[in-house]
Amino acid sequence: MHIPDGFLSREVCVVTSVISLATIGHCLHKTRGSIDRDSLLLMAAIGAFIFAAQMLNFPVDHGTSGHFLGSIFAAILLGPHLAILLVSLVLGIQMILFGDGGLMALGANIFNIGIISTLSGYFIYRLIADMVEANFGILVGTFTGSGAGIIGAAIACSLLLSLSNILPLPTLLLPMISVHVKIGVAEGLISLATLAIILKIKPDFFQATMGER
Amino acid sequence: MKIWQIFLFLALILALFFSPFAATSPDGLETVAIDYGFMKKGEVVLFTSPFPDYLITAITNKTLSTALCGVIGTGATFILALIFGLPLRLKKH
Repeated sequence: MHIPDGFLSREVCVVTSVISLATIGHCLHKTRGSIDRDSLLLMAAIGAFIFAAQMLNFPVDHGTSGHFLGSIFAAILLGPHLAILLVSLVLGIQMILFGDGGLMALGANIFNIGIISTLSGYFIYRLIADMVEANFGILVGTFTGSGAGIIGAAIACSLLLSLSNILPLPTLLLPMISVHVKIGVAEGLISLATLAIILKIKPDFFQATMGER
Repeated sequence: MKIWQIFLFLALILALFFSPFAATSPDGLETVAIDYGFMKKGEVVLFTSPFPDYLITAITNKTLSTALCGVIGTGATFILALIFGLPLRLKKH
């Protein structure tokens, strides 16, 4: 759901850019001096994986496609602060090199896809992973949180469009949510499958010390 | 093999061999924009990126063009994340 230039009003672009910049600053501050060589490499490789996976649009409905976002998945593996930084970088590269998402809309895209999807999805993940024991809780939380984060981003995107006087919020919400529920289910399944493979290779992944989580 | 090596390897495989065959139909937001008639508003061009729509204009073969863009973007993300991530590293004792 990369927003192109032209959809959003100048005010919405400015406000979301300020919020996104402040959040990036906060995340940089929070993570400074917190990662070792291996987690730096893991972060960069997950970023590469997210970029590649975002290219792979799959059909979800007649004439509609969706793709994996990976922001919640990154938050589960790296913690929300690093995930927000990483997804912001991916969005910046997509915009500058490939014209995917608008220049003026970059702050808004970081807000929806980087910040809102990550925080809302990670919150749901954390709730479930803390409630249900061990790796089973992590897997259930991963599926649910990943799906929820996509819906969170779709709601935020609808809100920004309505604030830009595209259409009233109630008109936008239903179609935006109903199409992104399907994309969210796919997001959940991809996250779940990838995480299950990681836990198969490295069952103690979440027990090994690796910064905040 | 370490987890990060698996991710990087997987990313390159996906970018090189799978990205040319991705669905080209509009995404969720574009579908809503088309259905509700505000897609035209998104045709503003503020700048031209070097590889618009994940294509290299000099290469006429679309499959090759997209695959190369996939590798360029995947590599750029990995390298830039490493560079920007360096200041986040633990200080050595």
